[in-house]
Amino acid sequence: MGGVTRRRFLQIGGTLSMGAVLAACIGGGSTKQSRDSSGGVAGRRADATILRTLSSVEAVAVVVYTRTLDAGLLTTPATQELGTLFRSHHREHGELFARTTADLGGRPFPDPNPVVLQQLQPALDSLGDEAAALRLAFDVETILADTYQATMGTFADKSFNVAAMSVGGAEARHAAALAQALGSPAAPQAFETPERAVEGGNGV
Amino acid sequence: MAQTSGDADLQAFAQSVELALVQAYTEIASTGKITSPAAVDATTTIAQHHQEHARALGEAAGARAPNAPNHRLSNRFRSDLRTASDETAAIDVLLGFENEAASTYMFVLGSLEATPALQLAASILPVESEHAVVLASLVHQPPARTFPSFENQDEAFKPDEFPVS
Repeated sequence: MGGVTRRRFLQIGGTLSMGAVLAACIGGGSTKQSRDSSGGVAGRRADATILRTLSSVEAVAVVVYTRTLDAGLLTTPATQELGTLFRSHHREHGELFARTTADLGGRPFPDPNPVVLQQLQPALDSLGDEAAALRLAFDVETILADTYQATMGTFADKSFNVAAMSVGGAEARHAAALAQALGSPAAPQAFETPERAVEGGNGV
Repeated sequence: MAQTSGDADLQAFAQSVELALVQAYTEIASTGKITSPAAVDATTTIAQHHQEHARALGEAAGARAPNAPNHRLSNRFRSDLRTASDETAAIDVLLGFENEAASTYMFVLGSLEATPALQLAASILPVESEHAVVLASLVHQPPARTFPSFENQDEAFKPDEFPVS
């Protein structure tokens, strides 16, 4: 998302419409824009907490891909390409949520979520081959996809629902590709469930 | 927030889209263009998923559910699939449908009000995205085209263009 585009959306109605900021990235935008759909000060604070959580989990994904790429664990060209591409997406997602947190008056959380990172640390420390790296990346992508899905109905600013799932859908694609690389079904069930979601505020 | 009549209308529309997809997969299967085991397996599973989506959306939409494929969309799907001369071309067309379906749920999410309605749509959208990945791998589509950094609603089917029959 370019700076000019972002500024243009920030100018809407003289009051920040946070979903509109993200709409600059994903096209279309909410069909129900209001002058201030942010839910007031309390709503903005609550949304900022969720966004801090999202940026922190995106940062975990960046750590995982960086570790596996730097260690040369993704040995086939196809998985190297996916790892590099997905890491760039997570950086983009994390930066966007950090900026939007600031726009809401919150303090961005650009660091890896310490709670999630601690849970993954044993797997990170024992990475020995491509299969292990892919399994860990798949786990992280699943956690991310579940986390976005779990935000539905929790945002004060309803336009964030679209923004969150624009990222959640992208993470689901990542997870599907990694499942394929592991020889597992890429679309194993008709409905996704948010069972591995990181709760808003956890670790941040 | 409780389910609104607007939510039910959107769920009815989404159900009509899902049933049009089921019909598209059924029709392409009957042509015999899809023959490789991997493609047959993938398209059979995906069609089942769309049927399950339609069932859930029908239950959520209640009396507003059309319980029938979106007529105009079915015609468009049929026209698109008619141009596919072989399995690869057919899968490529179906891949486009899945991306459009994911985009449609992005559009729908922008207007739904009740949390259960949002949650149902958000449980389906990622699956449509996964379907796109499955089909993209069958036609060896480059990752840059298969994996957008954000899902978008640019390709969404809209009720004003494809009204519930």
